[in-house]
Amino acid sequence: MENKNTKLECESCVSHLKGIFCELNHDQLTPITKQKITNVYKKGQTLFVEGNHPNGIFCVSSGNIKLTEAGTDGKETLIKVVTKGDILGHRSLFSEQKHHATAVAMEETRACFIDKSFIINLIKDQPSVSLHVIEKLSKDIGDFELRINSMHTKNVRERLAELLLLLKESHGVSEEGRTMINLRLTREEMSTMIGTAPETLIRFISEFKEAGLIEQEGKTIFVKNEEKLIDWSGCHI
Amino acid sequence: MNMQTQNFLKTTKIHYKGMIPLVAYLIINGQLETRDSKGNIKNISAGEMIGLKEVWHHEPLHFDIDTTPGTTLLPLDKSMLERFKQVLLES
Repeated sequence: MENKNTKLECESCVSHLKGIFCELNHDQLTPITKQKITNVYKKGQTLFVEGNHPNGIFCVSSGNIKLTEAGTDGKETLIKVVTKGDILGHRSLFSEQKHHATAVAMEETRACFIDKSFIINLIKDQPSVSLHVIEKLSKDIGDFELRINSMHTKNVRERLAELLLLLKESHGVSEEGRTMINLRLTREEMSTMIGTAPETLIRFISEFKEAGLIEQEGKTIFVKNEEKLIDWSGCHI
Repeated sequence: MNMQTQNFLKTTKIHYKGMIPLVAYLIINGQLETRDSKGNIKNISAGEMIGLKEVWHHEPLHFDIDTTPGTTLLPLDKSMLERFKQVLLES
């Protein structure tokens, strides 16, 4: 039987060209392959818990991981979904902050763990790695600024349209005349992403379907009319 | 070498059976509870270590590990273990 936790060579990883190690050659990747710990997480298993101290970074090789934050009322807010090529825990590399969210596998997910001391030394030795980490951090800041702005200035219809466009960008798979959002989010999870109640979200999803912007098959959403979705989002991309 | 303890105020799963542990743990306070696939429970108390060989050799641990409330752990990652080895060889 195949051991699912068998170490994956960084060079042959599908996310290699998308990740922070994309500019490293074979000789530079070999020590990372030797050092890292690869695990396959089943759906629902936790990679790290909010409030705990980070021990290093996770490099996602396959699958999807949701980041959730618990509110004072115990309700969970879905902050982000990370996918192959993304890294987790990089914020802690330069700060002593604890994990601000809990990371849970949404499906079978393969992730490699690299401890903090090793990655810090690698950043010192390989400037391209540090530049890619900075790029990821900058993108994260940009995404959060956009989100804060949306929460303050946009209505629910615009926020939902914007969310669907973002999910299409990150998890979209093109098929005949439409794009499937390859992510099975519950209505509760989606509603927390745009700061509204599930009932309101369901009402707007129906409106989007009636207007021909999206289609739905079970939990899966398909983007049918991107142009109109951009128009409804209030974004001027 | 930056070593920092971790406090767990409530029960938290820190390892799933069959996975390779990300770090080894030295139990400073409290205790850990391990549970194998047959449901056998074992407690690991303060002063004991868990996962050292598995982190070093990248081998899976065949039980779940949960913290109990009030547990303090010192995580030891592979880089730290390599540093220990280097220091021991130099001394």
